[in-house]
This record gives sequence, C-alpha cells and structure tokens, in this order.
Amino acid sequence: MSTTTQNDVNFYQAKKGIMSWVYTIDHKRIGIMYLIASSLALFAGGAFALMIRAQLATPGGMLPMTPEYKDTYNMWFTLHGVIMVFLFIIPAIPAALGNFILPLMVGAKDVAFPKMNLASFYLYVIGAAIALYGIVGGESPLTTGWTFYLPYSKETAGAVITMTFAAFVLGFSSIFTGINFIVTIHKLRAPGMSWYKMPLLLWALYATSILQVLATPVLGITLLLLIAERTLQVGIFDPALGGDPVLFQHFFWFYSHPAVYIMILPGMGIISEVISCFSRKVIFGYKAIANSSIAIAVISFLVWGHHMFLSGQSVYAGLVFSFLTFLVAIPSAIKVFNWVATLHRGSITFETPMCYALSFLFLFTIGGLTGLPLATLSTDIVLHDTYYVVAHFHYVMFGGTVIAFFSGLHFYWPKMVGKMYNETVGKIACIIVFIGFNVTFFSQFFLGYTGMPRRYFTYDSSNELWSQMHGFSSIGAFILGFGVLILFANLIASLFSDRKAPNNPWGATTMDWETQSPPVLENFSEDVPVMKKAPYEYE
Amino acid sequence: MSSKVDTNKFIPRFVSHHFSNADQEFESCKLGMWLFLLTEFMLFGGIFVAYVVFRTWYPETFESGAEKLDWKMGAVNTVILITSSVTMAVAIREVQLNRKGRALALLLFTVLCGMGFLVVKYFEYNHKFELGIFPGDFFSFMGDHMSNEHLYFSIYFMATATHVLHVILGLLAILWVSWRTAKGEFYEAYYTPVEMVGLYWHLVDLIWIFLFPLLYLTK
Amino acid sequence: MKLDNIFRYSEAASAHAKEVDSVGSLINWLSVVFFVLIIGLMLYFMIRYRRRSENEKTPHISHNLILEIAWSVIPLAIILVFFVRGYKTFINVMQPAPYAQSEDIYVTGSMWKWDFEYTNGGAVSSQDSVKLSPLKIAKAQRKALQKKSTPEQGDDQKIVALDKRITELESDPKFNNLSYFSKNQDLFSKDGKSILSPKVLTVPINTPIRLVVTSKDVLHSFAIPAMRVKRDAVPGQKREFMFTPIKEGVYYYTCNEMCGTDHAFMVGWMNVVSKEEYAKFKESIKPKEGGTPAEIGERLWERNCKSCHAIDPKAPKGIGPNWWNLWGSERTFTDGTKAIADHQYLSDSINDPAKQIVPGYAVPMPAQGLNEVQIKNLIEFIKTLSDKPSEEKSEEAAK
Repeated sequence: MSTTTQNDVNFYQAKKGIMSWVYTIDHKRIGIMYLIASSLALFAGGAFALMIRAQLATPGGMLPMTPEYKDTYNMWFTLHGVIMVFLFIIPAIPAALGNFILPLMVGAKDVAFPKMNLASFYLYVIGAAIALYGIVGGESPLTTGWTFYLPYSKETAGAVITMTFAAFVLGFSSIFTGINFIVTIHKLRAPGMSWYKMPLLLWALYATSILQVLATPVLGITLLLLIAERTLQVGIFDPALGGDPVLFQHFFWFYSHPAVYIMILPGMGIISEVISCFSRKVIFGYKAIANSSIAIAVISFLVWGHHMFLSGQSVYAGLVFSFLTFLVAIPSAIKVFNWVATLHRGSITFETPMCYALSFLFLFTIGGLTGLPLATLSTDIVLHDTYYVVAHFHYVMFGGTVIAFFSGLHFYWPKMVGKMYNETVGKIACIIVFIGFNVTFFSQFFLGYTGMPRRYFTYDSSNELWSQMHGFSSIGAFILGFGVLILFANLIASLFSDRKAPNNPWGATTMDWETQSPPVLENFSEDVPVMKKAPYEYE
Repeated sequence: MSSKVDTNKFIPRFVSHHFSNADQEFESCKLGMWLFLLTEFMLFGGIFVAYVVFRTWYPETFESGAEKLDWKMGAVNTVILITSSVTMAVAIREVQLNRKGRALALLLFTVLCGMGFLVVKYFEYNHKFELGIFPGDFFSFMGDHMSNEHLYFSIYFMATATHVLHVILGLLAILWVSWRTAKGEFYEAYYTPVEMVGLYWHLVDLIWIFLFPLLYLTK
Repeated sequence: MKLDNIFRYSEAASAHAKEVDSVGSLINWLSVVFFVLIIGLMLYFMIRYRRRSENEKTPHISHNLILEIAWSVIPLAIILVFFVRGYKTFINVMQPAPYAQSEDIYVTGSMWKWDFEYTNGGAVSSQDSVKLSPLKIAKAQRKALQKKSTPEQGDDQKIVALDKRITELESDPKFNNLSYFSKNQDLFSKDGKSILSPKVLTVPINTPIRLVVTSKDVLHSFAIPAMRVKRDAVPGQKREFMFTPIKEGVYYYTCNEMCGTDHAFMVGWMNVVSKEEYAKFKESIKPKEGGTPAEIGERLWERNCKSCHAIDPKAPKGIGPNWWNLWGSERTFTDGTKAIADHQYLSDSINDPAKQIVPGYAVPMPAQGLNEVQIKNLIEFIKTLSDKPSEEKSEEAAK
C-alpha cells in the first residue's frame, strides 16, 4: 500500500496563484482544466440540444417560419453537433480524465511531453475561441451540419471557414494528446508493468491514441482543402469545377468514422475498470478485452464507407464496407459479454460509478444492436438519414461514451479533488439521466422506422405517431437535462463539503489508487514506483 | 578537426524531471517524433489520394498539366533537397562527435539549401502565375490545355504549397538548433533536438521525392 | 399498434419491401433475444451476487476459452446471415441491370424542390400537381360518370366504388390531399418569398420504375419510405435505383440530405396509379410545343449549342465542330483513334466532352447537363443535317 500520508502537500497546494495554472505542465492540472473546459462545452452543446427539442415538440414549432428562423434552427443542430463532437466528446475522456489518470496508472510522474500537453490544452482553448467567434462573431449562421458536406458548405454563406479552422486547430490538440499517451504508455510504465499487466483503461487509451494520431491528420487536410475550396476555388470537391463531392465524404469519414471509436474506446476502458472494481473480482477475459480494443482500432479504419451506402459510391464498395462493418461489431460484442461475465460470482455493490456503468451496459447494448440494421445494406436504404440513425448514435455516443464519462467522473472524482460527493444524490441523478435518456431517444427509433428524415425543423402534423414520438422525445430531453444538472451540482457541492476522500475509497487495485487523494506534485512518494501486483487482483 | 572536447564549454543539462534517465528520455522523444512524422504522412496522404483518384479519372489531363511544369527546375530542387538531407545527417554525426564548428557549418549549409529550394520554387510559381495558371476557378491559361486542367493545378498548388510550408517550418527548426548548437548546448550525450529536427527534415525531403515524379514526370 | 408492427417499417408498397421488412424484423427480433439475454443475465447477476458482507471473497476466474470462442463465433455467424440477405436486395435496387425493361423517370433535385421528367419529355408543373391529388381525381371521375349522356352497364357500381374511395380519402388524414402541406399552409404563407408547392410524381403500378436521380446545386437525397428506396442526388452525377410499386395509393417522398434553409420542405407525394391511368397521364403532359424529336432537338440546339456548333455547310470554322454531315461520318481523334459518328459516339461526347477530341478543337466543351431524352432529341436533329438523302426525305420527295 501507499507510503504517502494524508498530510503531504497535494498538487493544488504545491503552487499557488493563477500563473501556476497558466504555466503549469503538471498533467493533473491540465486534466482538471480540460475537464472544466469540456464540461462547459457539454453545457453549451446541451443547451442547443434542448432548443432543438423545444422546436420539435410540436409540428408547428416555436420559431416563426421565416427563412431567418429556419436557418436559426439549422444552425442549432449544426452547432450541437460541432460542439459536442469536437469540443466535448473527443477531449472529454482522453484529454480530461485520461490526462489526470493515465500517468498515475502507469506509475509515472507525468506524461512523456508535459509541455506538449500544455500546448494541446491551449490549442483546445484557441480552437474553442475560434469556434465561439464563428457562433457570435456576426457571420451568418452555420447551417451545414457538423459533416460540412460539399457543395452546400461551399455555397452557403455561413461561418464555414471559421468553424472548419477551429476544427483544424482542435485536431492538432487531439494529435498532441495522442502522441503523448502513446509514448507515455510505451516508455514510462512502472517497472513490473508488462503490456499484459496494464489496466484495461490504458489499453483503451492506447488504442484511442493510435486512432487520434493516424486519423486526425486526414481530417486536417480535408478541412484545409475545404477552406481552399471556398477561398481559392480549387474545385477538387466541387462538381461545378469538375471535382467530386463524394470524394469529400470519403475523406471526411476516413477520419470521422475512426473518430467515433476515439469517442467510445476510452469509455469502454473506464467501464472495464469500474465493473471489475465494484464486483471486487478479476476482470473476465482480460486479453480478449485488451486485444479487442486494438482490433477495433485497426478495423475502424476500414469501415468509413458505411456512411455512404446511398451517397453515390459504387454499390460493390458498399458491399465490402457492409461486411467490414459487421466485423467491427464483433470485438465490441466480446467486450459486452466479458463485462457481464465479470459480474458473475462477483461481490457487487452499487455506488454511483457502478450505477452508471450498469446503465452503460444497458444503453450500449441497445446502441450496438440497433447498429445492425444500419450495417445491413437493404435495411439501411430505409433507415439512412432518418431519426433512426440519430437515435442509434445517441445510444452509442451518449448512452455509451457520455454515460461512461459520468461513470469515470464519479469514479475518479475523489482522486481528483479529494472530496466525496453525496452518494444518494449521485444515484438519483443517475436514475433521472437514465430515464430521461431512454424517453428522449427510444422514441426516435419509431420516428426513423416510419421515415422521419433528419434535420427537419418541422414535420407532418397529420402523422399522429410522429407528433406523439417527437413530444415524448422533447419531454425526455428536458428530464435528461435536469438529471445532468443535478449530477454536476452534486459534484460541485462536494467541493465545499468536509467529506475528505480516502486514498482508495473503492478498494481498487490499480496503481493510481496508491497515490494520495489528491495526489502530490509528482504523483508518487517513491522516486520510481514499482508495480507490485497485476491489476484486478482482489483478495 | 581535433576531436578533443573541452566539456566545460558545454552547458550541463539534466534529464527532465519525469524521466528516470537520459536514454529513456531520448527514446521517448524519438518515438514521439516518429509518431508526429506519421501524422505528417497521413496529412500528405490525403493529397496523394486526391492525386491518385483524379489521375485515374483524367490521365490525359494530368499528362497535359505535367507538360507545363519545368522538370529541370523540379530536378534541380530534388538535388538541392537530397544534398541538404545529406548535410543534415552529417551535421548530426558531427554533433555526436562534439565537433561544434563543423556541425554549425553543415547546419547553416542545410538552411542555405532549403532557401535555394524556396527560391527555385518562387520562380516556378511566378512563371505559372504569369501564364495565368492558377488553381481551380482562377485558372486563366490561354494556350493548349484540357478542359479540366485546373484540377491538376489545384492539386499541384495544394501539394507543393503544403510542402513549401513544411520546408519553411523545417528551416526555422534548423535555425533554432543551429543557434543552440552555437551556444554549445549539444554534445555526445545530449543531441536530441538536432536528431529530431533532422528526422523532420528528412521527411520534408522524402515527401518532395514523392511529389517530384508524381507531378513533373507523369509521362 | 400490434406487437408485430412495432419493428416493421411504415406502410410497404413495393415489390422488394417485403424482403427488406423481413430482414429488418429478423434483425430486430434476434436483437431482442440477445438484449434480453445480456441484460437479463446482468440483472440476475446484480441481484444474485450483490455484496452481502464486507469481507466477501470472489473466485479468480480469469477467462474461459470455450465460452469466449462461442460468443465470438456465434454472433459472427448470425451477422453473416444479415449481410448476405441484405446485400442481395440492395444490389437489385441500387444496381438494376442496365437494359432492364422499365419505366424511366428523371428526378432532379434543386433548392428546394424535386422535378420529374418523363421519357416523352413531359414534366408536371406545380399547378398540375395540385390537380393530381387523388381526392380530386376520384371526384372528377365520379363527375364524368354522372354527366355521361349514355350510361353503360356497370357505371352505377363504379360510382358506388368511387364514392367509397372518396369517403375513404376524406376520412384518412394520410390521403387527405397532402395533409402535410394543407395543415402547415399558414406556415408557408408567412414566408412571403418561397411558398413551396411540391410536384407530384406519378408512376404506374406493377411496373419496374427506374428513377435516375441528380441534382442541380447541392447534395440532396430522394427517398420514398413506402417504396423502401432512397439515394443521394449528387450534382454532376446520375445515380439510379429501381423499384416496382405494387399498391395503388399516395405515398410521400422526402429529401434526406441537409441542403439548406428549406430542407424540411423538400417533400411531396407520389401517386401510384393503374397502367391505363398512367398512359393517360403521360399523354396529358406531353410537351405542347412538341413536334417531332428532331424539331425539339433543333430548339435545344438554338438554346444550348448554337454559339459554338454551326449547322450550315458554308459557315466558318467555329469553336466546336460543324454539325453538317456529321451523322455517320468517320471521326479521327487527337490520340489517333477513329470512330463512326453514331448514336453512341454522339451521346458519349455530349456527356463527356473531354474523352475524345477532334484535332483543331483544343477547348473541350463544358458539360451541358442534358438528360437522356434531350440528348436523344438532339441526335435526331443532327441526323437531319445532311445532304445525303435520308429515308424520310426521299419519302417526302416521292409525295
């Protein structure tokens, strides 16, 4: 067990003043700053989501049907997507939680390149500032959707250049985090921690980082070409100049499909930690989970075309992509089976992180299974670009990643701030989020089945099913929003409480819990901490 | 030319706080750099894919476009860059052998080569602009050309401009390590930045070695 | 809502819809089975293995190879079935045989409406579309029957049937003359600039319909949920799909790719009518200015081609080749190859001007975006530009 005592000066107290944060190269402080920034982005994106649902609660909507207001609605869903994808969900787990936990988990004093880590955060801030300028800077509203499909993104008057440039900068931030994590995991593991003795969160973050490093540059060049398309009229993607808009989609999804695994893989890592810990039992099928993370990372590069079955790529390409898409489902399924098997004969308790983890299993299973009709070519014809897709990816992205983020947030909160939150309130928030989420998005499956297209600001009022389901969905969204508010209120309230967190409140076995809560400046009291036992060895 | 080293001349340097020894630090930096180079490859990969796609669709357009490029200038630039890569590699060797003066001279020669590359590129661009050869919609060349030849030049300008940007960044990086070399910060036990900048410069060189035949020598 | 219907898609009215729905149902029911299995086990374990005392020990079960192989291979086998069943229908719909017997309709998307052009060059205007509402059609038929001067046997039965249909249409909101639009009418009128009036797509029943989809400006996506078809409309490219409607009625179509301000209003409806009705309909929309295909082609030449292509043998060399005596002549190209100027060659060089270039004409023609019908008419016109006596001409001379 740890030799640190509760009285050692933790990293918050080690240095004081605002400048100690501005110039910090401490991974923990950068992680905390990332956490604050990406949580703010979550609230901004969430606000747009609630406005979307308010508009769609009734067929007539709340906006007057003039062109300006139609574009206002189109801007809402665009910004909801852009903010949630680039500013929240990609950095949330790797850059916020990962930054804090990864060096603790490998038993290092910091990530391999602390200055680059800080640069990554500042690039994030700059990217966010540019995006903010694109929203409030007086340019006409961006209405392209987060996918920036050409030729619309070339012809529309919106703030496309500003927003794509923001995404470009954010891409660098993501690359820097990825490089840092890979090198840290390769070179800075504590003595005794061989590859197959790494906690599964590290495997997940490692796979994520590979994706970040390999896929993000392609997004970079795609967005640069889009900017060149608008400014220099290069015509590579513009059919009017002999280019091909479908090529843009290939480029875009070559990044953006791996990107959804950048989003979900770290979430899966957290679930592995939490389920094992609260079942007090060795994780079932460690190697299968670890290798499936890598398998997902590899296969995810080969499935981008499943976003384009109907887009004008060759139908035979569609065939290949459909097949590969089915293949990538298998490693995810294996993980789910392993998690459930870990529960078997465990000693399960239901603290807040575990409640979220079990919600994750429930929601992610639905998210995964509802992906099958989208991978099947013939049924995808019906479901493509309808609310079914919206429901499916929210089950994966919110029900999967965000719920896993909440789980991880509650799991590591004592380590991060040194205080315990109110357990009861945490559980209540979890239940409200779970109910709100299902009401919001399960109803959207029915909308999709009956052909309700995406990105419509109104719908057929004579279709009773649509009116009902949109109504449900809107009510659910506000329940969900309420739940998330309670969640954060509970966490923030804990800062002002006097419930000090012990070093290892959950009885977990990985190295990060050997540190003090919150950790000291260079994490471990020993100069070179040694891994004494494999992870998940519960006695 | 003496390999005697007065170690007192060098500013002593300690391993960063979170590494346990210099080897670990060096290995980490090297891995990090290679990963960064990988991202650069993927970035240019996008342009190369666009090139392959359009060339497959419009082979004649690409031939006709390539004819308008001056392969001699391209060849000169190739020689310049390869030379600079060699001098860069030797410079690293000299740093490792503690021969500061030689290392500095070689680094500055590398910078000179890079600048030479830029000058040649400037003349090439200028010539194209005078003829009205611009990317995309601004293409206003009056001579014999294919109807969609602007696409070839869109790719040409995007690829070479992105590359030129990398050359400029590389030059700045080399100047930075030259300055640090002049200050005597590098010696046999610590030369990581020179090595990393060298790797980067080789990548810049390598990308040009791909670009040159693809763009200039299509026939 | 019947239990079985929960997992079915909206109303099905095309030949392949049944197969699509059955794959969909299969996937969904198997998903339910797996979901119940996984979550059922999870809930059971949660209750059965909840922590009862603080010092509980757990067994060390690191893995179980047989179990792991089983739960990798079984799902893999199942999804392979989905894959195979899925792609067969997909290929039939998305990649119809090029010469399959079909009724072709050219669908063009533009911000924010869909246009339909039929093989006889006819198209429906928005005003016509309103008249084509099924309710109005039924009422008109009934009126015509009543007004008949010499009633025939069976007319009464027809009137009864029509009355039934009219009541049906009036009571069913879906058939109630575009409820989507009529009920949202006030929403439209507030927007002074663009009152949208969608065009109707009319197709015959039990006939393979090939829709050739393209776009004039940005990406759109043409979808008819009840027919289980959808495909992106890509500017500069023609994409097609095929389906066979099997039920008369009215079905809505939508745009499914974000295309700007009024994306949500890029919707309309499709009439599936009997073959006879379709023939009548097609006759009614035949272009009035009409004339022979060659005459239509000539007007097209005046509009699109005249500035570069002369048709007079004495005209000076233009930007593009002279069309006089072009038909049937031998063409030599810059790459040395030769071809006879037949239908294939002409239509190729209109569609892809840069493909084969005749020496002396360095600047290839910009793409004209003509559809198949227009190209056919244009070629008919080119055929007439000849001093060689054609069959028609000699016939005329004989008269």
